[in-house]
Amino acid sequence: MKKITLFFFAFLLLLSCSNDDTSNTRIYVEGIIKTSHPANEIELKLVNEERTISSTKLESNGQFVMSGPVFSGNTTLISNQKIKMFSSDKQGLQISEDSLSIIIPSTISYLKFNEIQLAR
Amino acid sequence: MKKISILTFLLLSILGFAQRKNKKALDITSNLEGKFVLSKAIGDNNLAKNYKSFYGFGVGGQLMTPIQWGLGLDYTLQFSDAKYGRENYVGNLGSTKLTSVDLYILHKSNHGEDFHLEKSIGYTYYNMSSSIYPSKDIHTEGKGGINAGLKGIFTLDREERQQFTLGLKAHYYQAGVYNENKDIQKFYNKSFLIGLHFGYRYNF
Repeated sequence: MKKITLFFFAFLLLLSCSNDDTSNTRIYVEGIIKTSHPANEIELKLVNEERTISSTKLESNGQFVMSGPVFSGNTTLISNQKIKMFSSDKQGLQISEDSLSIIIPSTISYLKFNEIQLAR
Repeated sequence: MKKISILTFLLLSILGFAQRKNKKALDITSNLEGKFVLSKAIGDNNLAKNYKSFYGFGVGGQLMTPIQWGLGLDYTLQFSDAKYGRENYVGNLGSTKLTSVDLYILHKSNHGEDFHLEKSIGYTYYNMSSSIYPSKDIHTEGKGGINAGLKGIFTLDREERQQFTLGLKAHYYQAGVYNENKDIQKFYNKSFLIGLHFGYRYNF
């Protein structure tokens, strides 16, 4: 009986471990980029808390997907070519002053860009 | 990790206690096992589509009653990485380590002198940690899930102290991640792992 109670104690410890809620958010961004540059010259990355959380090159059809863990605050989508305009399924997104990034508010974890147009 | 060391301490003290057998008390036997593990995630989910197979090793112990039912505790460490070409789906995470602590109930059946079959069911606590490159920072995820297993035990010596084990174990994995899109959340959150393990067991 004593051993069984010891084991149940261990089991309860295990269960309490699994309730440590560390609020783990993952962001997932996908879309299509329109540009006159060749697709493999476009480099994209997602930055959160000044850390690159994901990066990718464009597919030949202009599609991209990036996903990564979010730590806190806003996430920025950064391109190596200037962004002219974009259209997406969410509100509240902004192009940065240097036109190289789109700022994604912390409330958004899933984002689909119908189109991002890059400058020539 | 503190809780894992408490659990290991508990397991070792239980085994120590079991060895000082009182002839009048319930005849509980114990064993310790070391094993190699190879796991593959299956289904339409992050671990299956975006990660390579997991390889690693584990240690475990069991307490067996004379009526062929027992209790087991396993600690396993497995390694993996993002599949080539899927890094954008995983993110800047590398050197992934999956730690699992399995607690389970088992039933053993005898099939001839040197072979036993063990069926088990239990619960696993997971911790999957990856380094966020290029920094040394660690990102972790992992909650818990059910496990079930089938293991063949081959006795190597006459005293039945040394055994070779070969088993299959299924694990339901939950990461505990959040995404506002329910399909994406399910893709990254839930997985099903099938593991093959072979090990060496010593009975006390």
